[in-house]
Parts: sequence; structure tokens; C-alpha cells
Amino acid sequence: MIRAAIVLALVAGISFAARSFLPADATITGSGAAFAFGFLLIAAMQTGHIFHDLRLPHLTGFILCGALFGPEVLRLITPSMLGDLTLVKKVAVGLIALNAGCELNFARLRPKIRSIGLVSIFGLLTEFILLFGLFAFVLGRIEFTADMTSAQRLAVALICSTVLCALSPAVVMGILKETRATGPLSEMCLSIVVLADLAVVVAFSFTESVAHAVFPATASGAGQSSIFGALAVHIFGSIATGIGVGLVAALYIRRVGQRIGLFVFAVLFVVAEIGGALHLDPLLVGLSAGLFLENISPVSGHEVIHETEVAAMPTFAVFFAVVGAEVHLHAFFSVAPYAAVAALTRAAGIFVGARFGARVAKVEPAVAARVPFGMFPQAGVAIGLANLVASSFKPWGQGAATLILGTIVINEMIGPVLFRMALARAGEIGKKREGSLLDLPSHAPTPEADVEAT
Amino acid sequence: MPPDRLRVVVGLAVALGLAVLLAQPKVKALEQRFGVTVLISAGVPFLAMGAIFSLDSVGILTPQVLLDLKPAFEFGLGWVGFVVGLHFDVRKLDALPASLGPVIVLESVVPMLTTAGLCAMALLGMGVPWERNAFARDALVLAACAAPSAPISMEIWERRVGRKAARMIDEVTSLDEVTGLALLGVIAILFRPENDTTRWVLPSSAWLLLTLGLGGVLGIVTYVLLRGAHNAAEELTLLLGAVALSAGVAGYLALSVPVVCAIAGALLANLPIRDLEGLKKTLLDVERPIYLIFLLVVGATWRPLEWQGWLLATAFVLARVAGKRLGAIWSKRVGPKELPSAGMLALALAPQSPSSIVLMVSAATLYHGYGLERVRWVINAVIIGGVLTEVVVRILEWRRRRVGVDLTPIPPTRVLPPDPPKPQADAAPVLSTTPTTPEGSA
Repeated sequence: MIRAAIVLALVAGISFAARSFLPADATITGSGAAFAFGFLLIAAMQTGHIFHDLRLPHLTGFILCGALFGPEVLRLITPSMLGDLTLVKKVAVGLIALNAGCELNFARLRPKIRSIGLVSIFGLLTEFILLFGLFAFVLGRIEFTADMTSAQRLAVALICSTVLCALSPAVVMGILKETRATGPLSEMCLSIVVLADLAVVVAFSFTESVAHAVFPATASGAGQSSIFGALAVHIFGSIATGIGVGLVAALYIRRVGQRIGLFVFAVLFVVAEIGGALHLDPLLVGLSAGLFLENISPVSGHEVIHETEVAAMPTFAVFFAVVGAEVHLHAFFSVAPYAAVAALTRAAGIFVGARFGARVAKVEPAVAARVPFGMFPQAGVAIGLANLVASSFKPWGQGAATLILGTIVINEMIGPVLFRMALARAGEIGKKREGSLLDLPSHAPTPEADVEAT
Repeated sequence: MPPDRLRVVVGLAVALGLAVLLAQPKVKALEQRFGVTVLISAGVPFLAMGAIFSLDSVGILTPQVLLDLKPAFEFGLGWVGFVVGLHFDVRKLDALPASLGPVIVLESVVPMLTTAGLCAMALLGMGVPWERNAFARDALVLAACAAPSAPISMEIWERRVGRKAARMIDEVTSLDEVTGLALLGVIAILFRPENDTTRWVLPSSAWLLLTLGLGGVLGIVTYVLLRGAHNAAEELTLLLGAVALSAGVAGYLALSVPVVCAIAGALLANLPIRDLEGLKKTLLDVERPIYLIFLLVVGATWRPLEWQGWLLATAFVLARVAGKRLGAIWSKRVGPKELPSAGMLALALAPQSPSSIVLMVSAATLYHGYGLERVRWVINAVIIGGVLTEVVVRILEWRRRRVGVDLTPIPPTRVLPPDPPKPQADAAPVLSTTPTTPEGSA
């Protein structure tokens, strides 16, 4: 911990000193991006170590590190630097989703599919109902909805509660990776967050169309059919692309079989670039590709996980640090009381609904008691949907997004901690043994040196 | 999806795929067999591809795409800088014959002097202004690119000059790029961006200290980071971060990225690390794709129809080959007696190293948008110069073979059994992979 703190201070000192070379508003494209990438990677890893020693998730450390050095607090990382890292972030989302998909084997999950379905449905429904009720009550008192009619306020409540129903496969996957956890709780949480998030993305497309109908002035001139057209492209296009990616990856692994990790990374890079222009969701693309590889293709998804494992650590660190740097702290402080109430309501909804669903599905009590904790974290998808609200619904979208993002900040910070605690209580941490991760680093003592020392 | 965007993505994906394919060991083995450098085997196709991709009608490497690629570019420069620095293991240097040191210096400094002189004259003749020492900067950049020699094919050169002499030449080729880097560092210190765009106004001596100090501190930070890694995956993560941070900070301060990273790498090479060779291998694995991507981007700014580039290339080749020859004559006088004849030494060291591309690319980033047409000429000179040098070397070899003096292979009975395989020795020989033999340390 002391070493990590010293290294963090040293790296931060060098970086602040270097940043003072140019005026605050100036940046050099290229140098800025490499600088931000390198700094965030090292700083996030060191913060992760400090958090590990405090028995907190690395991931929370990554996020907090990004938030601290990001544009809203210490301003070492500027918004333009973050903009330069967008591609890295998209590739990271794709890799995280691919890993999540590769972990889900439907044949193995078949006996549990009823439990997963019931926990997801009850958890999401209760969460949605409570959040909708809260927003319907609260929105009359918030400035940006003051001039709206009741129907319009309900539409805003519908949008806000749908977005806040989003879970976080990235965070769950990240926590499972760093803790090397495996077991019934890990498996169930991962399955739930993946499937439930898919449902939330679909549901958002419908609620978005309802809101556009209530606020005709904010609609971009597109009719109902084009909204569904966009929905079809976004969801089904992403899934189809993902299957295509899975097919190409399977062919490559079977026929070539060399440098698989590099190949997968290159494919994800291309998908991230094309996806931006085609409005494809990198999460859905990666997830579909992973599910295809694990469940349909003759290639094992675990082979892909193993081959991309070396790249996973820097990817996770930078991704979550960037997510942290994008946290809208000022927005959070402006809506803090409402956001806190919304986060509590969401947690209560998930807790009650998921536990009820687990009881109906007769899930093992030890798992049933802890499964809601895997549903608390929020990150990438929720932030993406909040940004979509801000850009799609003017003028009130920005206010709604601020409220949503404020709630996400709480879930982003506390969710991983609670999930890690649940995994620890369930005794699943450290159960997964991955040989390559146990390889010695280059500084490790030689066996001969060990013998000599003894 | 807009067709132009799709074109860019597909074009870059194809280039990336080709770069990875051309870095396969089979390609390297073929280069070794035929005794050609990466510049000829893969470099020219990539250069041509870059030139074609940049055409308006093709529209893949547009100015915006080139700008978008700059972060990766800087990271690549830092990566190569670390690789060069890791060769600089003082323990291995101590094991070399003492008289090989002057050979390394002469074989890199003399070509630098001849290149700087002749190219400066050529530049002045072409009308490059005296103001702000523009011609001097260009000439120094070309001089830095003249220093490094391409790694030799041990298989071929052992047959030609014997094992011991071939090893010495190999050592020279692995260390002469350090001299080029040093000159590049000097250029970055002497030719700074305009003072009104930055907050710091320092004299050149302060920038020199800053370059050395920053490289040293970043080397220590990298070492401390790697020492704290718990497993190989974390070590790679931290190495990535250290290279990116070093490259980013150096670039941010408008210092030469490979120079600062080479200092950091050199420091790392001299601190106790159990598996330094493993670390080098990790870095070397990605070195060739980086060169090829550099060539692709360089190709985008290549204007083969500009006569100035061809004139400068001719001056560059003549000065460089003559400098290598002069250096060889001098080296033969002061170097170890096992060195081959001056003619053979010059022939072995004449081919241009791919690291000259790195030096040139890095130098181009130090122009800060000033004298863009001259950047193109310098690029032309180095790229065309590399190809022309190979042609000149082939002709010289052919002539010598006809005379039948030096290039007669040593009879097989005198050839010692080959060494165990050296990791990536063909891409950029790792000094420390060469076992320290009693004959080498004699």
C-alpha cells in the first residue's frame, strides 16, 4: 500500500509538472492521449492496489482515481484527452462484453434459467415501479419539469426510471475478474445482469418512443416507424454484427490459431470504429459474439477469455478510470438529495423484488440473500442511456440526465463495494484458478535464489 | 455507414493485418536467408501502400485520420525507444573488447559528419533559408538517420568473415543507433517550439538536464512499477502504462519521445530484473508491426515526384556510404585485429537500419508544423536512401564476388556450429542474447 501510494504520488507529480508546460486550455493531440492513457493506467492500478489493501474492490479504486484526476476535480485529465480515449473505451466495452458472453454457457445455465428469469423479472419490475412512483411524486418539485403537464411529467418519470433500471455487466464482470470469484452467486449475478440489461435497452427504446409521442416538439421529425427502424438497427443490427464477429473469430481460431488475442483486439477495434458510424452498441456486439462462440461455435469461449486475458487488465483499468473521469460531480452535487433518494429507492426495489423472485424460484437461500447485491452497480450502459436522454430530449433532457447521472454516481461508487462484500460472504472469492495469471513477473526471484536464501 | 468511413476502417484493418502477417518469423527467416533488410522486404510495399492510401481518390489516410493516429504514433515511438534503451546493458558492454568501442563511435559518427556536411550543402543549394538555422536542422536530422546500420544476417556473414568478426559487426549494428538517438535528442533541445505557445522559457542547457532527468525518473518509475507487479499480466499492464506515460510526457514537453524512452529503457536494463530477456522479447514482439505502421503513415506524406527529395536522397546515400567506408578504414586501424577488412566492414554496415525510420518519424514531430515541404524531402531522402543503399550494396557485393577476394565463403570445416536460436535477433539484435565467449572478451 505504501509503495502504491508513493508511486501514485510520484506519477501524479511528474504529470502535473508536465501539464504546466502548456496553458490550461491548450493540449497537444497525440501527446495528450498517450499521456492520459499512460497516467490513467498507472494511477488506476496503484489506486486499485490501495483499495485492495483496504478490502475494497480495485474497480472502485479505478473509478475514484478517474474521478479525482478527471476534468471536474484536479483537472489533470482534460475533456479533450477523454475525447481522445473514446475509442479505447469502446474497445474496452467490446472486450468486457465478449468476456461476459463467453462466460455464459446456456447448456450449463438451462437448469437455472427459470430462477434467473424470475429474479430478473421481479427485481426489474419492483425497481421500475418504485422508481416510477418516486419520480412521479418528485418531478413536480424539480425546476426543469415545473412547466410541464402531468402527462409530460409522467413521460419524464418513465424515461428516468427505465434508464435507472439498467444494471452493469461491465462492473459485475470486472469484479468477478479481479476477485477471481466463481460459484452459484457469481454465475447467477452475471447471467442476470447480462439478460436484464438487454431487456432494459429494449425497454428504453419503447419508452423513448412514448416520450417522443408526449413531447412532439422534441422528436427529430422521425415517425414511429423510423424509431422502430432505428431500434431494429441498434439492437438486431448489433446482435447480427456480433454473430458475424463470433463467426469470423471462430474461423480464425480454428484455421489460423495464432496470436488470437491480437486478432480479437483488432476485430474489436474495427467494430468500435464501424459501430460508431452505424450506431451499433459495442456491448451488444461483444455479448452476441461471446455467446455465439461459447454456445454455438465449436470454439470454446474460455479459450478466447484465456487468450485475451493479458489484455483484460489494462482494458479494465483504463475503462473504469475513464468512466470515473466522466463522472459529472457538479451535476451530482446539484441534485444530490434527489439522487440519494432515487438510489435508495432503486436499491430497495431491487432488494425486495429480487429476493421475492428468488423465493418464488426456490433459489438456495444463501444465494437468494446476496443476489440483489450483484444488481446494484451501474456504469456504462446507464451513462450511455442518460447521455442519449440529454441529446434526444431538448430542452428538458439535460435536466433529466443530470438527475439520472447523479443517481448513477452513487450506484457506481457503492455498488461494486457491496457486490464484492456479497461475494466474500458467499465464499466465492479466489475460487477460480487461472494459470497464466499466476505466471511470475520478470522481477520475481529465481528458484535458485530461493534455494540459496533458505 | 458513410462509404468514406468504411473505406478508412477497412483500409486500416487491412494495413494492420498485413503488418502483423509480415512480422511473422517466416518472413524474418526469408530476410535472413536473402540478406535483405525489412526496408526492402516489407518496407517498400508499406510505403507504397501509404502513398496510395493518401491519394484523394482513395481517401484512406486523410489528414484527419493521420491526426487521429497520432496517439498510437507517439506510443510506438516510445515503445521503440524503450527497446533501444534496453540494449544498453552496461554489464554486457563491459564484456566487449575495449577496442570495439572506438569502432562503434567511428562507424556512427563519421557517416553522421559526412551526411551532415554534404546534405547541408545540398539543402543550401536547393534554396533552404539560413534563417532560424533551418538547413542545419534538416542536415542534423539526416545525419542522425545516417548512423544506424541494419542488423546483419549472421548466417551469411559468419560464412563470409568468420564467427568472431560477424559477432563484432553484430554488436556494432545493435549499438550505433544510440548515437543517432543522441543527436536526435540534441535536435529536440536546440530547436524548441515558439516560446509564446508555452509557459516555460528555459535555456538549452536546462532542456538537456530535463531530458536526462526525465528519462532517468521515468526509468526508475518503470522499475518500481514492474517490481510491484504481482503477476505477468499486471507486469505487462504496467509496462504499457509506463511506455505510454513516458511517451506522453516527453511528447507533451516537445522533447524527443524515443530519446527520453531510451534513457528510461537503458536505466531499466541496468537495474536488477530477473528476466530481462523476457521483457525485451515482449517489447521486440511488437517492434516490427510498429515500424511497418510508421512506414504506412510516412508513405502518406511521401511525394516521390518532388525532385528535391531525390536530390537529397542521392546526397544522403553518397555521404552515408562514403562515411561508413571512411569509418571502416579508420576502425580497422584502431579496432580489434579480428575485424574484417575495411571494405567488408563497410559493406556489412552500409545497409540502413529500420530504426532510421523511427528517428526520421520522431524528428518530423519536432518540426512543430514548420517547414512541412522540407519534412517531405527529408522523408524522401531517408526512405529512398534506404532502398538505394541496398542497391549499391548489391552492386558492390556483385563486384567483389566477381573479383572473388573477400566474399569467398570460409570453408565449411572452419565454420563453428551455429549458436542456439536468438529471440528476434534479426529484427534488432539484443546485445545480451549474444553469449559472452572468452574470444569475445579477449
